[in-house]
Amino acid sequence: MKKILVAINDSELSRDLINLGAALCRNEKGELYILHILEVPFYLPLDAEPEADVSSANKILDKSLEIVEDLKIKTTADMVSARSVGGGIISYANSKNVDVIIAGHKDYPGYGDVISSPAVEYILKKATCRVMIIRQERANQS
Amino acid sequence: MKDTAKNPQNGGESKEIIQGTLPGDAAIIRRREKTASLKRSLSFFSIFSFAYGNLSSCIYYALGVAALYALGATPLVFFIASIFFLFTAATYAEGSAAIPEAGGSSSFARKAFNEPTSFVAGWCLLLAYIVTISIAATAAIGYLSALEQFAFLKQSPWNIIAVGAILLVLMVINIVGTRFSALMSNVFIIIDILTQIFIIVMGFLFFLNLPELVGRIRLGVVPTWNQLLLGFYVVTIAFTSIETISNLAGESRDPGTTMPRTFWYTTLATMSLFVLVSAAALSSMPVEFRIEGYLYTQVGDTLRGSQTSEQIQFNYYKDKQNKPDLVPIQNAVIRVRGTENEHQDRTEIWRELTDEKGYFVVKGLDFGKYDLKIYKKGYQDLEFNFDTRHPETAPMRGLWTSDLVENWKNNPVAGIADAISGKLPLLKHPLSIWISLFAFTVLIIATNSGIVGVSRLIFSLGSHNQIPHILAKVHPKFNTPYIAIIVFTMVAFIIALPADIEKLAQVYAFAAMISYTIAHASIIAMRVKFPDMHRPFKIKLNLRIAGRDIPITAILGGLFCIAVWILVAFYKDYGRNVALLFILSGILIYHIYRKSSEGSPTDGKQNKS
Repeated sequence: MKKILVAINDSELSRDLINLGAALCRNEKGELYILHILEVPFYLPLDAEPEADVSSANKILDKSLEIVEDLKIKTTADMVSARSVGGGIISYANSKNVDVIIAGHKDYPGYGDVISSPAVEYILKKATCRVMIIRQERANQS
Repeated sequence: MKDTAKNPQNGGESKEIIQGTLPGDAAIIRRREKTASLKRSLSFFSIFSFAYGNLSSCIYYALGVAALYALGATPLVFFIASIFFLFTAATYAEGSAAIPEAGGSSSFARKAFNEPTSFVAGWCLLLAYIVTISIAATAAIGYLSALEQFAFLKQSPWNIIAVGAILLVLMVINIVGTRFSALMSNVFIIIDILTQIFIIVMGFLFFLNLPELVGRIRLGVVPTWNQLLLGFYVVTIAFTSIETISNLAGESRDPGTTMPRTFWYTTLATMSLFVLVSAAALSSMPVEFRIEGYLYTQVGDTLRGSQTSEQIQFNYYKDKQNKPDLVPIQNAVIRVRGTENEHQDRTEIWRELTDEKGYFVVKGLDFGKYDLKIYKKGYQDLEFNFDTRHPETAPMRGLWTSDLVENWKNNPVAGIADAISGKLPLLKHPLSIWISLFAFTVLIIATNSGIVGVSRLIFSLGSHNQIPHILAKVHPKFNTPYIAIIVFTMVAFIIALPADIEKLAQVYAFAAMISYTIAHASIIAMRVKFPDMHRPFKIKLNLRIAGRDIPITAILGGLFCIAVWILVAFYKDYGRNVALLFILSGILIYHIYRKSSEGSPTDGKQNKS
């Protein structure tokens, strides 16, 4: 597993995903790709640049780079505009020939915090490489 | 699957289009807009070592010049200055914790006052940094040249070439990134601290005599009040370290706690180091009264004396004479005897012989009255009385001084080491090598700290559109303001060419005191204008005026800075003129740049790379 792709957003879980990806990279002396998807609705052209979203994506990626900056890992942080989160991740993963995709999952679909369940399902269905899905810790419901 | 496309909305910049197997899989990898900010990579120790590099280097060149003025009161001057250093540190602790970005007083003034005030503070500081880089690099070569193998570095052009080489290496290191240079500083700083401890302990062990150390201070006489005050401007060089810490605020991992902590530790280190090292220096090279001069006789007198056996008259001068009709008198006996000495046990007799140039010096005199007799067979005896409390009564050159000033002004720590090796002859050779190399390394750190300071300051000024953006441009790979580093290291090299530490110190004091005064004023103004501003650290000692808490330390610190500035402005023409020229040029550049369309204010936005 030389090329590891971590899909992130602004949730707390993203930090764990990056740490996990970084740990794997250090073990394997691999390359880390950190990816944030800008989901562009169909009524806008794919190359539209909503200023607030781009600025927010830049901040998220800057923060993610701060996490790994002391670890001496070859890291690329990209933002990708796509129609769907899952589609963007898969396209990016294919273009970079990654060996594993690490993505997060939250229990309540549709809330859109980490990667929505449809995105996870899409990744699991379409990815040709290995996939690691990390779920957020669950509150004790007993 | 991949394609590139031109985006008309984005000035035609290329983006990578990736096409999936389904229409919905199409995606665009955007060119990520990087925010131009310095890496937040420096820990407490890294920042401390940068500051300590500046601080401890100051003792290596400022001690000799400070002693030139303050004489036996040098530790006292360092102590008093340290108190104001503490006040200034408090101001910076509050300011840089509240505004954690490179720029120091310039950043404070931007918030408290306006852009022009901020620029003046920043520009003055820039000059101060450039001067410290020049001094430190020159002094580094000075210490290195004390070694036999590097003695050629005392001569021009080798000394200049060596200074240039040092600056070139440090310039490259700083462009590659602060993390590497911080590591380098951390290693050197440990050697630095160990050596200073050794010097202080050995100096005290062999030489410390507290009553004598204090006894050689006679305020108003040794030093005179004027000398004492002038001593203060030299020691203000140490204040640079405060700015160095503040400038690194933008890169510290946790500015709210790291910055105040670093300020306190640095201040503590300052007070201890300055007072102890200067005490060790003046213990090993005590302040004493010296009388010196040259003896000559007329050519005609010598001939007549030899033919007629009549007594020939001496001529005595303060300075060497190069007149063809004067012949130096060798081996004349100079006898000095205490008559009404304040210390009854000090009525010894000092004897010296004139050398082949007719020169003599009698050292080691204390407070009191003395008589001086000059005699040689065949010559008329001469006798004078003088009082060392009134040096002007001495017949030739009579002055209160120390070996520290006379022989070790430019490398005072080497002077202490030399005195120590007199007590430990076995260590003489290794100690001189060690001190020279160690002082060299410390001064290299100081030069490096200065370059770091300049580059950060320029980055801050540039990102606020106060100087042309090209100077503040950040390197795409190393993320460092490389153009500023290159330009101002070169300026420092040019300034270092005719370096005279004392004159450079005048320039430094004139510029730096303006900047620090603005820093103190800014902290006070922010307390008035923005009382509820978030301050991770707040000075506790306050005066309550019109419902506002005004920090007393900022008031006192500001008054001290103004007093030193007035002193330099009135008494030190060279420093005042050079600094004024630089400051006025800067204001002119600022005015022209701001008038241009490129130089419109940014409201504090960072520049984009």
